[in-house]
Amino acid sequence: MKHVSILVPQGQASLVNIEGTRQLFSEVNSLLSDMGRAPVFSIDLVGLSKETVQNGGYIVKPDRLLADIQRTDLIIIPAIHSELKQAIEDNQEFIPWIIQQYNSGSDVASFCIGAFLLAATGLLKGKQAATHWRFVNEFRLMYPDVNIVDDKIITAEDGIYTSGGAYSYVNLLVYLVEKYAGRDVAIMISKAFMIDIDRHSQSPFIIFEGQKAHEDEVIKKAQEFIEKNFEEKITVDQLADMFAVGRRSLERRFKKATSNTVSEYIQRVKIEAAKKDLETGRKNINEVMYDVGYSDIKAFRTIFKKITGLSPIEYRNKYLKVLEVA
Amino acid sequence: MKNITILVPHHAILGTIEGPRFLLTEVNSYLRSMGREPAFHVELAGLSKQMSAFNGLYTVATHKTIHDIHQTDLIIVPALEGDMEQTLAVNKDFIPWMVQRYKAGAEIASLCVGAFLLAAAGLLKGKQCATHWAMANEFRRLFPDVHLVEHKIITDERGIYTSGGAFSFLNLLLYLIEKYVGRDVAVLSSKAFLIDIERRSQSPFIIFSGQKAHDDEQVKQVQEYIEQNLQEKLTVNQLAVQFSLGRRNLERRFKKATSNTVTEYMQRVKIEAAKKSFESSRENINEVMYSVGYSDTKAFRTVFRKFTGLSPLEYRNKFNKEALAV
Repeated sequence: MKHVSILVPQGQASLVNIEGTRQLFSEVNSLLSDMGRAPVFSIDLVGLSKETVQNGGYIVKPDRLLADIQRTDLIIIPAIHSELKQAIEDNQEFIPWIIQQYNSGSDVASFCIGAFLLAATGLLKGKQAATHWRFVNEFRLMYPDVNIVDDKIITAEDGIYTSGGAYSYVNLLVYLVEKYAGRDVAIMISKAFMIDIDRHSQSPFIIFEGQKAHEDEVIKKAQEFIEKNFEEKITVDQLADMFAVGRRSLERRFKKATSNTVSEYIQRVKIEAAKKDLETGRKNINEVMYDVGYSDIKAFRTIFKKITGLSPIEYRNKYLKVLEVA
Repeated sequence: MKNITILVPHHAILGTIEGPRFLLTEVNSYLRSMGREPAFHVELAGLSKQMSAFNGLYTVATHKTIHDIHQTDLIIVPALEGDMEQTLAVNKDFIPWMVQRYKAGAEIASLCVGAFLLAAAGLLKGKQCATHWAMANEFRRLFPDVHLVEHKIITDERGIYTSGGAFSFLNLLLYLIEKYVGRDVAVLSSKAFLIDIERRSQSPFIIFSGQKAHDDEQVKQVQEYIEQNLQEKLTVNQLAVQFSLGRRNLERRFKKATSNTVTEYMQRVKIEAAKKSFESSRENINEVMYSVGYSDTKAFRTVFRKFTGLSPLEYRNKFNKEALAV
């Protein structure tokens, strides 16, 4: 039997994560008992105080206090919606305990922006981690030594698990059920909770917003130029001339400031514009392609797929749907 | 601005209260950041000012009691847990208020098994309704005059909305956001919350387990015979002879007891067995087809799609890990 500690952080912790985990793991136990098998999870909500008040008007009374848990097998860190640095400060007390449990063999899983608290323990250093796509830039700034992967919704490395944004946490839950209870139970749970067990990528959901939280004014101007002229064919040399910077210097500074190369940035801006067009559905795929400055359908498709995980047609089918129910 | 009232009944599933509250509140902040007016005013309402969930693990401080609410635009009925008849009994005081508000023009949306409370209020009579597939038999038994559509995850009829099981409530929420605010904001919300907006069917998740909660012993024997001989090609005539029943009599009693025709039942049993094989075995599609008593690929594919919403290949790719890895 695995002891699961679902942390109840201070501040605005995600009750959706906390209660969703408790409910789903409990359901695993009852499924197993229906099949005449022994339960696999012993579940506790674990807090720093006997009562925490959460945003939205909820009071949570954790089953156990952190200080009372000597040994656990799986720690769940939910998303905390407070301001990120504040959230970590409010929950400092969890950190040495998480490290100690991990060092004595416990697995640790974080959901969504719960990855920030997990990273604050230092346990993610040099490891892959996923988080909500909207927080990837901030995560890179705060934890440059973590290998953040913005396209994934699940990472698993040395007993450390992380999930992508929001409701992708349910995919990590199913993954953990498979690990602890087997594939057959994971499939049954995915059906009972209507979770698409075959989701693996966060890419179809990412909205590219550029990275402007840096101090390099020249690079900011280059970014703005790209964003205003994405219909044109823009080359790195042209930008270097325009802003009177050496080509290699431009490349280096651009990458440092935005974490993209110049040509990646150009691609991302074009593809984001193409996505918007496909969502509203007024143009066909060739028109969309020409309007964002591509003329080679094969190149366009390859780049589109690299960035979104889907072909242009798949993307359109996903997001362009007229209301048709009942 | 729409007034949204999320009910907090006894034995509610907290994720279906906090999930909608958080999502609809986030929509307001997206609108603000786009320079638009917030669209929703969200309140939790119970029978008293404090509702306790899971033996006091959580306490929900509601904003108001329902008796303080005289005008609302949309009532959300969350999912419920426990024995449905008992859960309905302790929540019966919500019913007159729901009926009154609906007559005064409010719309009502039920999430998952929240449909039971909506049906108990009489508001679903003669209307389409979705609910969790695992509760479909129970729902039919309690509310025979409601048109239950097991395969759908969204219904919309005269201001009454219902959703399929568990996390498919998220798709209904997106549907409502689209309806009240617009497609662009619904798409944005789907990306921020990692919800696959194009989900329309519950079928891929349904597990067929037969309907044995009836007293017709002879029909039960027929059911068991079908289940034990799924690799055979059985006909209704053959079953009628074997169990010494007239064909029409068998059909009538079978339908009454199981809510399936004999032929549907045989198909469902076979397809359920085929699904199991696709999930776990390495057998190819033809081998699986033969093992459940089909020899015509086209017929097998048609029947398979009718019950699962997917082709055999799509189903295998969704649930079989090895198929996926290739």
